[in-house]
Order: sequence, then structure tokens, then C-alpha cells
Amino acid sequence: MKSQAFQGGVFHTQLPGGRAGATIVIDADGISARVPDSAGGETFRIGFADCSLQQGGASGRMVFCRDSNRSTTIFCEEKQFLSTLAASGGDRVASALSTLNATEGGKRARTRRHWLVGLSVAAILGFAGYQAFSRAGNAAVRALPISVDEKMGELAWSAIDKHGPEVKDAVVVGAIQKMADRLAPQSKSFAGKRLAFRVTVIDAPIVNAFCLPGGRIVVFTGLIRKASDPDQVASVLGHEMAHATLRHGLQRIAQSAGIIVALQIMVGDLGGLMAFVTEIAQQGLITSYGREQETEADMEGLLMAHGAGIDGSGLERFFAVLEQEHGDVPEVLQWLSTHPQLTERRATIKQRWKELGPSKAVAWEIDWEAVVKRAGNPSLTAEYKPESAGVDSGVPRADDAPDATAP
Amino acid sequence: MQTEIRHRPAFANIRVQLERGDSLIAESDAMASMSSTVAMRARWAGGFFNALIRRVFGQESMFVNEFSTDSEGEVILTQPFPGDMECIELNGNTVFLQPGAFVACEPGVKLTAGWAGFGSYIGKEGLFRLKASGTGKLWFGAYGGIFTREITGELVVDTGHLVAYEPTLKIHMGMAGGIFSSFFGGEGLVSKIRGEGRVYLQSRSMGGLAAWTNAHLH
Repeated sequence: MKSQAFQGGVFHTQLPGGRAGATIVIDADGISARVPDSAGGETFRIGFADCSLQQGGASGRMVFCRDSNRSTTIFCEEKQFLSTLAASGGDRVASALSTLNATEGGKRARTRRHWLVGLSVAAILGFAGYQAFSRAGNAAVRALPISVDEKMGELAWSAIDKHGPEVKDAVVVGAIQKMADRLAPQSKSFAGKRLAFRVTVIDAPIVNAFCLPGGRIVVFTGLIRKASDPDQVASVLGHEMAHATLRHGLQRIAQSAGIIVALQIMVGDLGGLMAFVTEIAQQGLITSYGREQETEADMEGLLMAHGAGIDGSGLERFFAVLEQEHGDVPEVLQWLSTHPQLTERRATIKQRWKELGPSKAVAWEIDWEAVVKRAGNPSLTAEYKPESAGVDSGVPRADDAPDATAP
Repeated sequence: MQTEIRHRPAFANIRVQLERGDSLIAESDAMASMSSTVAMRARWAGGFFNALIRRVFGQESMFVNEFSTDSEGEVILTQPFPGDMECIELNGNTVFLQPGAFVACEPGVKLTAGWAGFGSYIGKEGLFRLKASGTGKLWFGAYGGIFTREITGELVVDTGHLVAYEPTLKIHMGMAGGIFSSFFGGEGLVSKIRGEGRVYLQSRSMGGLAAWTNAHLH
């Protein structure tokens, strides 16, 4: 049989320092290790019959061959070393190899178990930590005065891309503001006060609307043109206003901010937060909510619509229109793309609206056809002058009470 | 080439007397003084990628300096922190050095960066380690004194005290005792070094000094 050479090392008391690198040769009778001339140039040998095997080293793959009195240890990390040893040694190393395999097999199983347990514990701790941190962050957000939302909202408004010119037309803006004013008294209050909801209409073919923290509502003309009746737009507004009253935007900021900024929010230090809000507003992240927040806003929006005498099923009908028109490609619609699980949501909204029971429907004093027509024609600019925009009409909400979470 | 480690153990430095044709590789910024007859040339530490790994994960320079002379001259090499230095002769064998420990070597020693594992990283011993192999002298330094242990079995070492070890040894991270003792006894995580081989340890840890200093800052 042809002998094979490997690079490795040897431990022996005769060597300077007790060790040296070596060129290892496996021949028909055993293993030889020749150290370099700088270490004496000597050759150390272990016969197959005299060899006990062990695996280890920094990599875990190094094979150690020791003689019976443990005075010589030859070690090698090369991949083919063990298989060559098995092939050359045959029956003479079979027992040593079987002991090695049994030991290493047990070690590998233990290591696998440890990794499994370790990863499971890390996953559980990570999930628990995230939940605890998220809850603590949300509690801290709820404890902040509502004036913080207003500041953050205005900061975000100054930072975001508007996507188009502001529509000043009195018919269009007046109609949307009228919807907001009707919903506003039904919104949650904070220490007896409600958010001042102000409507801004932007001329852009985007089927989208959002409400920034603090109450600034932004509606794109694309959404107005897509809706077939005012109840549909009003229901969408209710949903978006609910995001503001439920303080989802501020929660989003806290979640995106990372631990340091979140801790700043918790201790009420808002200085370093401003730059961060500007940054994430520019990326459109403030109004990008999670599924749980969307569901919460759906339910709160329906409650507001119900109290305001608005047909809240308009929200479900608006979804249906969009779904029918755009089928499998909802991503072309921004408002939908940020609102997942459409079919499921439509069913839930329908069910919840039914549970709320009949409401006193109040007719809109809006010429909806004119609104849609003018929303599609930005050259019409009979300027809207707010009369009572954002002013609380004073009609109390059914469950109105001083907000327990407000400071 | 004549070499000597002086002013041990607190402020060790290496005096190297180079003869014509001799050369020496040293860590970037290790030179304290050199004769005007000695030439210094910077080069990648073991090739570009090794150098990059050294820099990013080992907090060491991407470059090493090569000192050589056509006549003769002296080079004094030192390390940035107080402590001892050690010189070992490699005879075709390999030694792993912890980040920051390498000071100098003869040209026959090959330096490469090697993966140390996540366990090592968690134990604050670094994600990568320097692998020194080949033939020739290798100098490395430590914070505090250096002591060696020949291991045949297991040795428990507190994190931050490991300086160098042979590849025949495996480093496991573990707790010093039970959960209570590990956290309230101040030892936390420790390295459990198993196998057969030699380990070089430092009598002080940089992390310990930093924690002590931090506690006394007002």
C-alpha cells in the first residue's frame, strides 16, 4: 500500500518545548511523524496496535493518536487523515475507531441538544423581551400629553413628500372637512379634550388617505374620485382618525426608534426624537401600521361612524369597489397595500357593523357629484376658508369620560 | 539576529539587533525606535482579505511593518499597554493569538486570521483570532504578567485573560459555577479550555481595568 503524507504535529518530551510541527506519514504498519530540522529532525512513530484515538482541538476535527504509555502524541487536522488511517490500519485500528466514533457521536448529539435548547431559550427570551418592551413603550406613549402628538404630526407633515399640490377648492375641502367635523365629537378624548382634526386635500392620483399624529388628515383626490358615495370616504376618514386617537403613529415612532430613543420617550426627553421623526416621516413609516393596529382602527372607526350617524358599512363597500376593480393586484393601491388581509377584514367589518345595530343615519348636505367632479379638476379653485375646522362641536361620544391614561 | 526582551514584566519591550540580510515583521505602530540604517516597509498583514478581517474583527491594523537592513541596526518594539511579552519558537507548529496580542515575528512565520466561533465572541474573546504558523520566533504581549499552563484535561479561565493557545485545545464558553454563583460571584462567563496543549494567560484583564476605572469616575 502506498503511504500518504499529511501536515500535523507531535507532542514529545524530547522535543524543544515539548512540541513541534511534523510531516505525518501513514504506512502499512503505523503512523510516523518527522519534525523539522529546526526541532531536531527526529521521527516519532506509533504502531497501529499501540494507537488510541481521540478527536478534538480548536476546530473539533483534529485527530490525536497516542501510544499506550502516552509519551508520544501525533495529531493532524487534515480531512483525509482519519479515513486513510482506517484504510491502512484495518482491523488493528478498528477497536480504536469504534471507541472514537461512539464518543464523538455522543458529543455531537449533546452539542445538537445544547444548540436546540439554547436557540429555543433565546427565541423565547427574545419574544418575551420584545413583547415586554413593546408594551412598556405603548404604555409610555399613552402617558405622554396629546400635545406631543401634535408636535410630532406637524414635524412629520413638514418633512414628508406631499406628492402633489394642495387643493384649496371650497367644495372639495369643505365636504371632506364636514365629514371630519361630524366624526370628531365621536373620537376619543384626552383629559376632556379632543384632537383638532384639520383636513388637507392633495391633488394626486393616489387612492390614499392618512391622519398624522395630532389630527392632520390628508386625503388624496385619487381616493375621492374612486369613492361612489360620501359614506365611503367618511368611513375611511373615521378609520384614519382612529389611528390618531389611538396614538398609533406615536407608537410606530417608539417602535422604530430603537431602545435609546424609546427610553428617551419613556423619561419624557423629546429633544433627540425630533430628528428621528423627520427621518422616518420622510420614509413614510409613521403611517405604516401593523395588522393589530389596523384592526383596532377599523373597530374604533366603525364606532365613531355609528355615533355620528354615518353608514360605517361604507368602509367595507369601499374595499369591495377596490377589490373588484383591481382584483389580485392590490399593491397598485397604496391605501390597500398598507392594509393587509382585505377579504378577512371586509368580513370582520361587516360583522362588527351588524353587531353595532341600527344607527340614526343623518343625510349629508354635500353635493357628492360636484365634489368628485371638482376633485378631478384642479383648475377650479374657489378657495376654502375654514369656519369651524378642527373645532370640537361638543356633541359627546357615548362612552365619553375623562381619559384615564392621560396625565 | 540578536533579540532580548527587556524591562520585564511591567514595561516589557523587545530589543532586536539586526544583521545584514535579517528582517523582522512587527505590528503596525509597535516600533519605539530604530537605527537610521534600518529600513521600514509597510505591507498587508497576510494579504488583503486577512488584513481586512484583522482590522474589522480583530481590532488590529491592516498593515504590518517589515524591518530590514543592508548593514546592521537596532529596532526597539513595544506594545501600547503595560505588561509582559513572551517569545516562542515555532517549529512547524501553530499558535492562536487573541486580538491585540501579536507584536512581532520572523519572516518564516505565517500570519492568517482564523474564525474563533460565536462562543469566543460571547465570551468577549473575539470573533476571529490570529493564527501564527511556520518556523521562526514569534513575540506577543499581554496586559500584566504572562504565565503558561500545560493542559491535559480542562482549565477554567476567566474571560479577558486568554492571550494565546495551541490549536490542540478547544475553548468552550460556560458559567463559572451555578447560575447564582456565576452572576453574583462576579465571574459571569468563563472559558473552559479542554484538550492537550499549552495556553498563555495574562495576569490582568483590560476589561477588568476598564470596569474598575469606570466605577471610580465621577
